[in-house]
Amino acid sequence: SCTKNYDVYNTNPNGLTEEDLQKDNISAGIFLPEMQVNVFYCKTNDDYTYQLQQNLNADIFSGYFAPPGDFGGPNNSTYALKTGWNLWPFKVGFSGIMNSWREVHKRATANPQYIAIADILRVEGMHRVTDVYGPIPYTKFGTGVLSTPYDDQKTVYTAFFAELDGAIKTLSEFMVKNPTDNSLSRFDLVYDGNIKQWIKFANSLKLRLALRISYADPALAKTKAEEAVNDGNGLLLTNSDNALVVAGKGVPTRNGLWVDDISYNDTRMNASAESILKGFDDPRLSKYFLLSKVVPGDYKGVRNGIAFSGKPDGYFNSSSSSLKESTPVQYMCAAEVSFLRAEGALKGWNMGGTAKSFYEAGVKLSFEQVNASGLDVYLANNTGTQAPYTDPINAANNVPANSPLLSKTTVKWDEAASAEQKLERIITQKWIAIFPDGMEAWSEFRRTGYPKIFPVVTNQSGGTINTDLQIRRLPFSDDEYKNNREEVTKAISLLGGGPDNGGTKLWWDKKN
Amino acid sequence: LRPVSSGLNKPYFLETIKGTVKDNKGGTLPGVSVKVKSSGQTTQTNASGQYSINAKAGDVLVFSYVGYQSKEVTVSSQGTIDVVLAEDAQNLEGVVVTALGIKKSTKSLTYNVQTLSSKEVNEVKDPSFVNSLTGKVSGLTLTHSSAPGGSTKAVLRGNKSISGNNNALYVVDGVPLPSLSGAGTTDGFQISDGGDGISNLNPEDIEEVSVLSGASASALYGGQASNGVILITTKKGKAGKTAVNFNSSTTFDNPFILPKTQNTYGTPAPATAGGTPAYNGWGPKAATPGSYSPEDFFQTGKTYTNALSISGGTEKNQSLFSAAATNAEGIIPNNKLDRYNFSFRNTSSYFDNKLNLDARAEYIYQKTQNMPGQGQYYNPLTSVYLFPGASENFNNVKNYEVFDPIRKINTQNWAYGDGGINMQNPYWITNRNLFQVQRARVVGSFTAKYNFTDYLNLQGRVRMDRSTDQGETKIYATTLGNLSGNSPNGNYTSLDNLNSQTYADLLLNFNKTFGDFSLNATAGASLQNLTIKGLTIGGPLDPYKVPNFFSLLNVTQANLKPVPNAYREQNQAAFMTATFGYKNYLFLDVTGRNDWNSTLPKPFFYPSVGLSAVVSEMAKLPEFISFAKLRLSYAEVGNAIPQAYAYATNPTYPINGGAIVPFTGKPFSTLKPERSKSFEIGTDLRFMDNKLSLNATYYKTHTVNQFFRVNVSETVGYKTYDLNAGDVQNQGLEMSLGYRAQFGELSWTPNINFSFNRNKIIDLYSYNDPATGQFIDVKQIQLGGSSVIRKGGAYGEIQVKDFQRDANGGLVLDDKGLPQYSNNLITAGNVNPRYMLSMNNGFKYKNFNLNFLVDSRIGGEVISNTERTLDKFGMSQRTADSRNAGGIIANGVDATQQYYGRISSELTPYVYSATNVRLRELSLGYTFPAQVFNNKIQKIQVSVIGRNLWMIYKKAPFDPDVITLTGNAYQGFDDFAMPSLRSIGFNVNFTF
Repeated sequence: SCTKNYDVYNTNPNGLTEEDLQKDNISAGIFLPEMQVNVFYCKTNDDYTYQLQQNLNADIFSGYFAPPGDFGGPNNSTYALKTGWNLWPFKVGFSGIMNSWREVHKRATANPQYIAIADILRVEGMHRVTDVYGPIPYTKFGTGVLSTPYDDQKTVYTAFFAELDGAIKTLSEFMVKNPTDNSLSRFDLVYDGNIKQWIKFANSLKLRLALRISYADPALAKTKAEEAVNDGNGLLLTNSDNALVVAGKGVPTRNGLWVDDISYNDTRMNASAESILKGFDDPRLSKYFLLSKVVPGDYKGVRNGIAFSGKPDGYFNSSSSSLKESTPVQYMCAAEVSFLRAEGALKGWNMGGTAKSFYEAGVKLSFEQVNASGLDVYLANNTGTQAPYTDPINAANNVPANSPLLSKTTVKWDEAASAEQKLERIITQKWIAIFPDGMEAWSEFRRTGYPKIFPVVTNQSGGTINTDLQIRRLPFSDDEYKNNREEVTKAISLLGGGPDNGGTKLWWDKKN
Repeated sequence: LRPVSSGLNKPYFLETIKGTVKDNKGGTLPGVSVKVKSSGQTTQTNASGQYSINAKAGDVLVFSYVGYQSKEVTVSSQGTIDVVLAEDAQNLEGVVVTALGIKKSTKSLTYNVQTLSSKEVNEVKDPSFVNSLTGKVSGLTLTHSSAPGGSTKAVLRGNKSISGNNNALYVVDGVPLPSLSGAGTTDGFQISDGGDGISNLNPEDIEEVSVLSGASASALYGGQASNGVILITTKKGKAGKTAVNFNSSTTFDNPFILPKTQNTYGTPAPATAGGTPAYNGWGPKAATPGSYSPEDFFQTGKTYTNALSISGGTEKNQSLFSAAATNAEGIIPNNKLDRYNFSFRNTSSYFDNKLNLDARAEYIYQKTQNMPGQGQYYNPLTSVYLFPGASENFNNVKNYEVFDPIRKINTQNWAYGDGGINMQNPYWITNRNLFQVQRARVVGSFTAKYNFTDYLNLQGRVRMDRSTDQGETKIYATTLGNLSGNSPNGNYTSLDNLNSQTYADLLLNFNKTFGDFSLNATAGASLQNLTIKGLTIGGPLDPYKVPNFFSLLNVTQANLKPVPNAYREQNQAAFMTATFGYKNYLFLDVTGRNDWNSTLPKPFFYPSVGLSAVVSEMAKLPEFISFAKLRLSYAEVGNAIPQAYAYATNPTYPINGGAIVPFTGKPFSTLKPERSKSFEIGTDLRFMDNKLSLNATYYKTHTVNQFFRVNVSETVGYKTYDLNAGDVQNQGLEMSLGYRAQFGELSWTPNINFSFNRNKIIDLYSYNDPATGQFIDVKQIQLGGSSVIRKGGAYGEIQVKDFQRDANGGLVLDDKGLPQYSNNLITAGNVNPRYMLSMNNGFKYKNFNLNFLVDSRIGGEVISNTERTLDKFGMSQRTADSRNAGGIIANGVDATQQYYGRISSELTPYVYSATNVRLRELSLGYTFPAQVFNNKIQKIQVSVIGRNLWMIYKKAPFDPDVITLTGNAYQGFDDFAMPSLRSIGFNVNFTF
């Protein structure tokens, strides 16, 4: 028999072989784009992914968005946590980021800059995953044949810092040695191959993570935050530094929130967003959201965790976000960095300025970013507080004017205010500025308790989640209970004593 | 007694001998060859079975006719010799076509072969002929869609493979057919069943069907035949006068059994005045029951089959032309099938019959529209069965679209919402959610055989089968967003698929007797090449462009995602088979085959061996035993990787959404073929002058090295691992019992088929984790639906959630007084029948014949998501009966709706016994003899035919036959499947 052609027969004509990947030397960097579009899933293929990765959890828990219907039954919005939904942040993290990271590491031995970029992207992608669940398999990823042990969250964060430090060092050295090298451009949807921008982003990310652990490990937090601020290559300082995933390099992208909102009609403005933005008379309201159809001429949000009648009952006509299909997803913006430094300064860290200066600069950067006007009036507003909320369909969901759910914080900086009041002001403004990054907003809400997001109206968690404290995490992935049962069961003990449910606090969630 | 004459003797005197030849049922036999043995003079009986020939007293007349035992009669003085020829009972003395088209004497067969004639297959026609085999072959389980031309799942001797294919292989004239199975036939949300390859055949082209149910019989075909073979021999042209046959059959179909729905309780009032009405039957009791019944939706299905064949030729060259048109409309409006078959076959011989050529060409064109599937998507039956006819008017729904003057398009008229199960206006679905597929298929085959001597020949064969499917899906604007890609303008998908198979083989045949010994041997090699190439592309129509303009150019361009479909596989094989005979009553059969398959890293070999002993010729048996044979065989068959897991040994990096992504399946370079080891022992017995026949086979099969694709934690860097493991055992019995009774002119030929199969999962897979050294034994796999594969269990097991129970097994009620489900899974049954029993009866009286088939399946369970949903929506008759009887009172309040809402949250109460007995087929025919037409027309046969006329007994609230899915998952799972059909029709056959 002549079986010499069997290699050809047994090769998928639509799949790339190792030999194909060697052409044009793309092998080392070709898996970077996949990492970039999976932090917030934004490919046009399987564009339902973002909804499960983030929209039906963090985006609604953060107070930015709320579902206008019940998807046919109790679900996350009333804390009836759906296992089939809640495995997705984990799934996308591993299939979209970790696996591609492994490929880059395997192939880019001669291209240390690619490995450094992959490390930064991995930290940016996976900190969102650990911030959802707590312990994750991280340092031992890929070493097991059938199972991988979990790391506690402290170990994961320690690894994040080490990787960012290593990447910053590698890139700084690379930049000096190869000042004109732009080979990364082919694989870079974020900074088009600009290494210095990647270093700025890595420093800013390090600052974000430092503040995240500031209640759990204040000493390490301070060290890392000050390192980040003092690095010679700097931070994301202007809006032109913002880390955005821009379509191109052969990868068409689509904003997942646009899909969920405009295409699926599955998400709308949250009542908390309406309350805060209206209360501050915030010019960004009209930049972020569209006028509703349910209250013509006005913006209208939906409360989280309300009861639906099971029939179309009008919540669909609440405000959509103004995001476009082509709006790039944003990893981080300069305004966030400014608010992080404001909080650091508030803690007495050396951030290179005062809390007030960073706070006001943060608001200014945010206004600039969305091209909003009226900054001075806004910054001087010391009367506007969170506005009451009226549900146009069911008054049971109203938050009346005297409700304790409404915060009294205002916009105007008050140097005489308590540290806690200052913190609420900073985090509330950061929350507005980093819209629509629900994952980061939910994490910071859990860490600091701000802003005052309305609790769910109906709590169907069966007593596992406290309505006032709100949801603190998602249970471990159901896939892991099927396929990595022993290790995920062991990981429950890494949760710090709490059970594997939505009420258990993460390691860095130490403030309250 | 006179001495027997020889040609040398001078005749005393010649006289004309006349007579009539009849069969043992009293029918006359035309075309019987009558030969004077001494002189060689021959003639044939005419259309009325009469002959006349000159012979002298003492001559021996030989009457021979294909399919009948020859008879010799010595001429005495009388001038009339009437002869009755006995049928060559089930070809026991004859030959059957076995694997690769090799003919073997039935005596020498070491395994079970069941043969059906064209007549048995075609008596009661089905557009897909395989469905006509139901109840006629023991050990064959058929499940199929009731839509005309839908796919059929044919399982012989039980399911063997967990991940692979379990369907029998179809072989036409010795060559395996590509399966051409329709897409999407494996999950619970099947969209549209495209039909399979076998359903394309023109049933009238079939001469004979042989079913080789065991691996021994089919080992020569290799892995693809490990589930048995259904072997089809097509008709050839016949020498002699040109014969024209025209057959026309018309059948009318109606739903056989529909679920019992209620029409006394209507919808509850909308929550707010003028709001959307709810779509369920949990509202108040209507003053008078509504008149709506789901039957209102169905139309009478019609199937017209018209087939013409012309046959003729000389002794050296025969041709057959056939053409057939099948035009069918389903019972669901707008479901259509149109099929046209054309074939031409020429058989010829040259050089004094040394060279035989056989060429056949076939063209098939088939067009289908809206082939029904099951599940929620695009299924009109959800809203039809759930329509609350007590308060709502179905006539309003018939007006399925209304003109929107602003958009200037017709928009869907459906006020009731999707009910969480993707419901739409059922007429909108049938008219505005269109699935159209056109298939053009060309088959060409050529065989050349050279006879070196009368015992040695070389045969070469090549067959090409090229099938192209072109499909379009048109989803009109205002279709439910979930089903239109959320575009306000509609959705359009186009698919093109080419499936091309080339098969070629070369066989050297040797067949010779040496004294008491004989050898029938074949050695050969084959090549099979399969190429599938296709493209599916489409998406939501651009919201900024034109509604209902179904062109790829009008699809949102960023959403135009080409999904290429490409598969290549080549198999090369070398094989041999030899049957050693001794005294024509003891036979040893051995086969061996070696495969080189492109999906596997190494070639693999598998053997079979068998023994057949005709005891009745070896020893003197009691008089009443006319024939007794024992047979015994063992075979192993290897199976290549299932196509669904193509390239498992050689993964490549996919491009997904413009990005190159890592592959997620760990390469499995040491993959071995799945291997079935089977053993069978059987007997063929005949009693009372061959009148009573019994055929029984016991078999046992172990299928090991099963192919598993296992999900692993993605934290190890892969999503799936592939491995060989497991052991699935099937054992069972196949029996058929036949009788031929003659009471004067009335003949009765009953035939009983009985079989059972017992499946057991002996082992799944286990491994030592190389990282931890831990031994992991996997005991259970979830297949989809409620199907579970469990070590120690059986294939097809159904698991559902149990209610919460106390220590005594009583229900633990919740605070509302309702039962509640626990997380405990219980085994609720198995979808496979425990026993299959059927009885076919043929009666013949003069020119009348009556046939009926009573078919039963005993045991086994089916699950109905339809019934569950009917309960949930308060639309089942059960819920109305319960309310009429005062409702279900829990904690002192009426909790009927809450109760049904609770129990219908799981499938547990909706597992039903599939036991049923039915009159599956009935036909009554009359043959007008040639004399009626002055012999201008040979004969006209008319018959009235019926299928599913009477459900004699059943337990489930629906016909368990509706189960349509042909994959391994979701077996026995009914989810708004199209009802089975009661068909009544008539058939006219003209032979000129």
